[in-house]
Amino acid sequence: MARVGTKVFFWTESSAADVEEYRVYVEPEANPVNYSSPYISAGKVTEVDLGELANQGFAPLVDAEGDFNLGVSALDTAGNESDIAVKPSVPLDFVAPVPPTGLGVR
Amino acid sequence: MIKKWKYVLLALVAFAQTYTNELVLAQESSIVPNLLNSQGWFEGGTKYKVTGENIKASWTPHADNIPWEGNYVFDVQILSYERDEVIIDERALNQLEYNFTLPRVGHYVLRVRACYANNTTDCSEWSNSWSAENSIEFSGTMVNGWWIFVWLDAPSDIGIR
Repeated sequence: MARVGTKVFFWTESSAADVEEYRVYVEPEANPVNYSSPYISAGKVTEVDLGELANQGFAPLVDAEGDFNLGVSALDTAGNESDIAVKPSVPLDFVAPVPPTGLGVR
Repeated sequence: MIKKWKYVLLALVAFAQTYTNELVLAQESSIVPNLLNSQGWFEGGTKYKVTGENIKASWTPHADNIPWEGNYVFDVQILSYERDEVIIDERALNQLEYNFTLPRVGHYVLRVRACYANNTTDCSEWSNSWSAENSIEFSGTMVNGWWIFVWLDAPSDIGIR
């Protein structure tokens, strides 16, 4: 099975003291990012490898090729969610090239 | 006999004068402190803040232009709407500003009142009329108080590498 490359999405953490995790949202460029967008809970981190998320099967990134809107929000221990900080029109290419063919030895 | 009545009368006048003085602040609406915005203008209204952010409330001694005589102190209260209780209750502040932070997401109201420095239980009305007992009234009462909406600070400086 092919593996896609590394593409790190990073941010500066929220100033709130009780942040429990961050949510990473992904939408195709045509769709705005909002709280209904597909997301993954990234834990209490300040970056994620989008390629690794694609490898793990995060649907919006599987075989993703084109421009995408990315978002990240903070959640606190009470379940409150911050505004979503958005990075629009990020070019992503998680389609691995077709493997070589015609292998042989001479 | 007349002399005796004079003393009684004098005593009554003195009592009435004292009693009247004690009620002045409560009855004199013009002495209610007036909250200010960062530009120093009178302001009652809504503030949008994030958890942990430093918030500064400041006020003038009066809601109108009565000269400031300098013998007052101030009480500040902040009420949590969701919890319906006073969470900050500062008394007898000898200053015209108060700095604080709100660590939790929610809706809050801040108000202030003036009290005599030499009798801190004799105070003006609060700058707006909510009370923890009666909960917050949404409209018509925020003449000179602050609604503070506190949200969770979003991540920032996002990028790709």
